[in-house]
Amino acid sequence: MKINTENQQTELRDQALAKCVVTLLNEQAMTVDTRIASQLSYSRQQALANMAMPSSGMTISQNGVLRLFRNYWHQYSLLLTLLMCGLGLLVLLAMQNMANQEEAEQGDAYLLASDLPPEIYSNEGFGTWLSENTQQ
Amino acid sequence: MAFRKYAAIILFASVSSLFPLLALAEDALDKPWALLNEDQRKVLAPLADDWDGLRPWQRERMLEIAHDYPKMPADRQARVQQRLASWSRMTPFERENARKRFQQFKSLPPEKKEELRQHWHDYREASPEKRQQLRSQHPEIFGVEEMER
Repeated sequence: MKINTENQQTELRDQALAKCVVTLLNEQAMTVDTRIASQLSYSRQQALANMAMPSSGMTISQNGVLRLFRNYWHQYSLLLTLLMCGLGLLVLLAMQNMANQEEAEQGDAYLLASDLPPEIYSNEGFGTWLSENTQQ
Repeated sequence: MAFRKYAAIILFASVSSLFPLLALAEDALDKPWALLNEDQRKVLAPLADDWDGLRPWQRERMLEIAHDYPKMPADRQARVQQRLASWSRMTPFERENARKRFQQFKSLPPEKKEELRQHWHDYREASPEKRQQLRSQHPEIFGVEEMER
């Protein structure tokens, strides 16, 4: 019982001290220099903005969807666009390269190096023979 | 900062990968014989006298041949050189037909291709009289007139 009373008294003392500090701060704030007031206001805005901005590139939205690199997108949108264009170009070239490999031995050089002379390929009769044998 | 570095590297890689295509396109320009490089002149030697009279698109095709040539084994390279001159004298229509039929030939069943190769092997080995006989029996395979053996 005695301990409870002591605790209550300590709490009341702390509250009174806090009120005193608040009163003193308010009084000082009324007389603070305009330049310092402006700097303090700017710092407060910065602190609030930092609190609103998530610290990492990964955030979880209100409906629980994980969003990656949202802030990076805002900061580096032009670079990311260029990067995606570059990657797209690389993919395109890789696909073209694969297609070229599949079409390997299709140039005139391979025709000239064929087991059959090139003249036979321009022969109409051979064309007919090829059509008949390809269909079988 | 590191992110910008990686982006720059990827962009550089994609742009530099276009250079071989640009180089090939540049080769296709109207180059006289004297401006071909040593390798190209070596491969296209059978065309040396005719080169400056060829059309730009014909030169482009010939330069493609010179480009593919080093990828082939020696026996096939010899065939290419042996046939280059007659190939350049064929009409564009004949060459286009030949390209189409070459693709058709490649799509034949393997046994048919082998059979045809064997016929041509036998034809090359045969005497002039026998070849004449084979041509009259199978003009669709050996042609009507004597072709390169």
